[in-house]
Amino acid sequence: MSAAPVLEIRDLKTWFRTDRGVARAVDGVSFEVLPGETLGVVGESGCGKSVTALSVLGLVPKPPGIHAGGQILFEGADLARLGERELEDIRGDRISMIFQEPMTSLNPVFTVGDQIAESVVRHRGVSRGEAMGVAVDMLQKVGIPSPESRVRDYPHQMSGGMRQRVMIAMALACRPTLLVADEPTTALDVTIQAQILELLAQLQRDLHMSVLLITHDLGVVEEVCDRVVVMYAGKVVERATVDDLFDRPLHPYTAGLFRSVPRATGTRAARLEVIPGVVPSPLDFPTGCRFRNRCPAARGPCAEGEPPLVEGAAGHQVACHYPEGTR
Amino acid sequence: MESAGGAPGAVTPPQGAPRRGPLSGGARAAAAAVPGLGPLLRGEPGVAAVALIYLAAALSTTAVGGGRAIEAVADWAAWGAARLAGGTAIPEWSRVRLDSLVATLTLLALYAGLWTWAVRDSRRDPTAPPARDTEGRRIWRQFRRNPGAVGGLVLIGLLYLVTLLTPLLAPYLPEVQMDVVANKLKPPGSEGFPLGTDEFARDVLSRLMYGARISLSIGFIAASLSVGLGTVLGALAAWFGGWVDMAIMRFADMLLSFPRLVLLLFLLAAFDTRSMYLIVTILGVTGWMSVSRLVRAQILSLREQDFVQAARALGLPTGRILFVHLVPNSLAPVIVAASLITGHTLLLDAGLSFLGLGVSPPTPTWGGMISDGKDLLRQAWWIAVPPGLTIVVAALSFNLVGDGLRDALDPRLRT
Ligand SMILES: Nc1ncnc2c1ncn2[C@@H]1O[C@H](COP(=O)(O)OP(=O)(O)OP(=O)(O)O)[C@@H](O)[C@H]1O
Ligand SMILES: [Mg+2]
Repeated sequence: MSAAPVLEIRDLKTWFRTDRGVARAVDGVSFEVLPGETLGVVGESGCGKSVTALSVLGLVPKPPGIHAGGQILFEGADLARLGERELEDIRGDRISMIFQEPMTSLNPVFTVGDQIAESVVRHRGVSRGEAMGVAVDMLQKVGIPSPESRVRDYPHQMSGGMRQRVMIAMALACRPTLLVADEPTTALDVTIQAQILELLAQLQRDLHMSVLLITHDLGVVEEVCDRVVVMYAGKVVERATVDDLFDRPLHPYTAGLFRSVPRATGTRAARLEVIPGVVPSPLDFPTGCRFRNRCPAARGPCAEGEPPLVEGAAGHQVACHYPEGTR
Repeated sequence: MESAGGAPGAVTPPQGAPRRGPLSGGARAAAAAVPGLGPLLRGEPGVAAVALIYLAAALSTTAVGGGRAIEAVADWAAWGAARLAGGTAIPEWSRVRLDSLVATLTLLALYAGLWTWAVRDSRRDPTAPPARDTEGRRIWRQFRRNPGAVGGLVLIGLLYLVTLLTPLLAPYLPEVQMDVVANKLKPPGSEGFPLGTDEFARDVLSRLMYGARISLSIGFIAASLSVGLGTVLGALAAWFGGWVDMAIMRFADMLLSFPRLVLLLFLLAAFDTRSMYLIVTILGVTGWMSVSRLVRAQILSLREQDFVQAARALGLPTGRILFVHLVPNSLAPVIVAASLITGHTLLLDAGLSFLGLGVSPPTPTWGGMISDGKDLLRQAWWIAVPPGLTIVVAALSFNLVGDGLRDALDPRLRT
């Protein structure tokens, strides 16, 4: 389409060798993140969202993890082939990540200023004094009041929302081009959630970065994402712009997801539905379409071939033999 | 003085100790002039006692060794002048004179420290709310509640102070033998020999003081070596796991399966010198196993914490994550172990010297003195008893401090 993607993942496979066999946690995922956009990744618990994110940063523990195939193209390099040293140079500098748990993601024995400054010293090679200056600037940017004195605070002196702001300051101190956010607001209460999302959106504009946002929350997706990738059982089942996806979900799984969340805007009468059954274990996926034994539309051919990801509508891809509306 | 009348809404002080406000006017000046007076006026006898003990130590050192201190400085000045003038026969700057100079500087530093503290303390407002509450402050507050631990800390401070001040305090150099016929085995209180002399007519007090330097340094350095080695090896074992963990921890198990003394004798047998460095090294490399187990256990649980993942996501290298982020988080039990190990090492070193395997004579060590005096215990108890007592006091102090730290560092015991 328009500009070249910042990140392009092609047929990524990240598996785990466990005692009970090989867990195919991520099993052929492809998507791209365009400059300046926010790409949402949604899906049920255990579908491989976090493992995809960790793979991008080379943070999958190996062993038990193995890179079983595919490419992660970022700034002209395939991250899946880089060594640990080269990945360290990229992490925290060109690509950063923030995590779900702000309460435990900061080191309790260092001041927040030290922790922000550490990554600046590591990647910019500046003196500690200069790095502390950057830390104050960053705290200011993420909206922490009186940053000059707050840099000397220890994590336990801050609330969860403030700590998540500090995490964001740490991640963005070196102005990365890509931020991977793995459920950054799940652990926060709703009002703080909204503030953090607003802050991320504002920083994204200021710093011209792309965001890969992993979340459970379809409300969040609708609010902040430009495009969405829906994952199921280690695979991408649907890819579209937010508007297309919410207007006309093509995959029965996506449709099921929408029917299973309460919509603030919806009519009261609309009943919540649950998707029957559970996510299959990555140790033992069903043959053919992995969703078939939970799918209301499943029929004979679904058990035979795995549906490929194909264009179901303009700019809207789906991996289903019988997409919604074609039946 | 401030009026004691309670203003409406004034905060009631906690029951028990009446809290007094900051000192004012003359009281403040007096408190600044005499270290220890301030706490006394504010009704904090414990703090006052500690300050007064150290003040007494400084004053008595000045009384006994002031002359030597002046000499040491004059001597150094003369030597420096000769050096600058570039004369042909510049005397060597000897070890003994360096010792005296260091002792003099220590004494000056002690005075400076005491009065700096006194001046700052005289301005302190005990009713003011505590400043920013750091982890360190909380630990210290808890530690202070334990009189045994504070007493131990004060004693350890005094012992190490004496080792530094010895050249000003000791009547003789430790190896000096007087006229043996006239002076051997003098009882304590004899003229010129406050603690008597041994069978070679050497002054027991001087040997006790110089012996403290050797024994306490060996204890401290060997324990630091053990703790350092244990920390690094335990951290590496936990982080890398697999065969690294296997190799390190099985080696530790192997060392632990020998009685420590047998291990020491075995290692010492391989050398024919008995220098202080050798003893320190051997005590150090046989004492790290318990620390490595502690650190390994700590790091095994810490490495799963989210902040480790976050640090990796920032591109920090493994070595830095391990030694800058994880090790400090695992240090609390290590600090406790360190003080207990120091006491233990002190005892072991005394045991080695007693067996004649410590630093070779005539260098004085506490264990060696006990060994020298053991056959004469009936006729001349004063040779073996004083070093015996100092060993007990030192080891006990380290254990008390260790126990106090253990309690202070345990968050469940905080109040
Ligand atoms: N270190 C590991 N060893 C073995 N299996 C793993 C490991 N890490 C993840 N997995 C498996 O990979 C699968 C995908 O996990 P992942 O954490 O990516 O899910 P997720 O989509 O992020 O879920 P959630 O929404 O709960 O965070 C899970 O089945 C999990 O058991
Ligand atoms: Mg996850």
